[in-house]
Amino acid sequence: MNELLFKSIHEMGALIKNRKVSPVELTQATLDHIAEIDPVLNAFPVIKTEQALSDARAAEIEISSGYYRGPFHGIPVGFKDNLSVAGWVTSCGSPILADHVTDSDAAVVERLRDAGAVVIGKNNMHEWALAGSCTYSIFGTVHNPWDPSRTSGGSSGGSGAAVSAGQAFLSIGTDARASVRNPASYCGIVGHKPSTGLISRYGELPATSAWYMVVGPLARTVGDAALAMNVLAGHDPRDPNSLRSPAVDYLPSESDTLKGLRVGLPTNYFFDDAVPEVESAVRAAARSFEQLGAEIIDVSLPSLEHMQLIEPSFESENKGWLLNHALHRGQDFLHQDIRFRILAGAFARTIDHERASRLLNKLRWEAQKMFELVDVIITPTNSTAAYKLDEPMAQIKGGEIDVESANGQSRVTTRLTVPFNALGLPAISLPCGFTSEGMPIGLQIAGRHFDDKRVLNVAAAYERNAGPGYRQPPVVHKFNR
Amino acid sequence: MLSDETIRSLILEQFGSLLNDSEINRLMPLVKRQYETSDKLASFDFGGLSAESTDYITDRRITP
Repeated sequence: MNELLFKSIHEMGALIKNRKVSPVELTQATLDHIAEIDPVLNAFPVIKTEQALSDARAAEIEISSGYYRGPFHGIPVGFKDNLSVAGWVTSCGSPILADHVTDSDAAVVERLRDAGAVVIGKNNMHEWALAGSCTYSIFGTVHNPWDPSRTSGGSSGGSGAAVSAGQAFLSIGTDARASVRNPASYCGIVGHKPSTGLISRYGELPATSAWYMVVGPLARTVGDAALAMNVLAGHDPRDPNSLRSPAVDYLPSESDTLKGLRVGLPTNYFFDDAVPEVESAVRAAARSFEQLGAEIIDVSLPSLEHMQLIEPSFESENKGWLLNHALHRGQDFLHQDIRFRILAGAFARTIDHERASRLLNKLRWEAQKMFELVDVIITPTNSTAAYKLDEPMAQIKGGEIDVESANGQSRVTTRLTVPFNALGLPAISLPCGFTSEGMPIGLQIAGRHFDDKRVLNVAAAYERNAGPGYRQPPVVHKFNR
Repeated sequence: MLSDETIRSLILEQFGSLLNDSEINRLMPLVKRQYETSDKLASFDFGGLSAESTDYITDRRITP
């Protein structure tokens, strides 16, 4: 194992800029590491060796001739397999798109290529991004680098496992309910779900996916996620969801004080299912914020109690376009769990959407009032750590729950993250502790719309002063030579 | 609450012969839950047309 693969992007960028590390050698070391470790994880099923080395050689020539593009120049990165790369298959983890070659780069691929990043390949994902796990995929199940018998989370599970295990410095995922933050939490890294409209979704498949879906970075440190935001954020007229926003430098302040910051700690919903180890880790994080000078204020969002009514109505809208496949090709081209969820979604009526919209609007008003009292709120990212793949039951506070059932899946993996998709607000997950079984626990920090910089800033202060930060997962040490 | 028989007939009405018996049996609890969600949503009193209770979609035909 090469320790260089675990440097932060900031550190590695400086080494490449000063020509202490060659992008070609770094890319080759990354490819070797993937070849060694991925048979255990299954996080990087698509690798483009020749193209990656060719891009790395081009980066090396540019840097040698004095043309340095910035901190991503020569840095190996991956993309979730629902983000298009020109000339590559983009499958969404589904056999329906197994031969679907896209002819242009997604906006986020373009931006990272322009910044000089070396695209290594595609990361595995749950079929159609329709779960908070990475179990059903044309490429097979992704395994957690902290314990390969457990889920990586998802649906950007390949992205989470790959970045955690040093297979890439950054991966870009998508998040409609949890899919960046959940694998970040389960794999012990950082995942940022940006404000709706901040990062272009051009080139994300399917083009008809949910309005509350966003594209976001998974990285090992908050600073690395912020570096990615500097490259990825910005208006794109090709994406109808893209909003105009002022140019912002997302790099966190280096100040260690949070004096004057008002941090909301929820009194309802977010701790209902949390197991004691998760709850105590998050409450300990709240005390750390207080020690850094922040004021902790109890807050509540009463309408969250109805989130389980809001979510399915919008989810049926998200999946409706797959109905034809579910009916006519479902037996062979969709996992049966997904197929039957799509079929059931056909029974959601327009009036259900209208009523769910009204409930959501009520929640928006409550959130707006809450953010008059506080600057950010902190919650657990998940109520539990990653569950065992071969045991469909997960332990939550009130008992066991079947994660194979549609209701159980969302309750275990997306319950605490989906509100911020519905509200369009920025939310980050970063490590805040470990369970007695050694599995990472995630802390979620959410803020006002377009206040991503503050969310990143608060997360960085916690990471630097109190949080455990990134740690190498045990699986990489099995390959230590 | 709709009976199993009603739910089965709703599925048949929606999908006709595209699903076999075993597929209909697997679908029934999910459709039942969908209708339960509809009932719960319908039980809310969303009030009149004040800003706090009105969304961007306001259809007077379904707003008594």
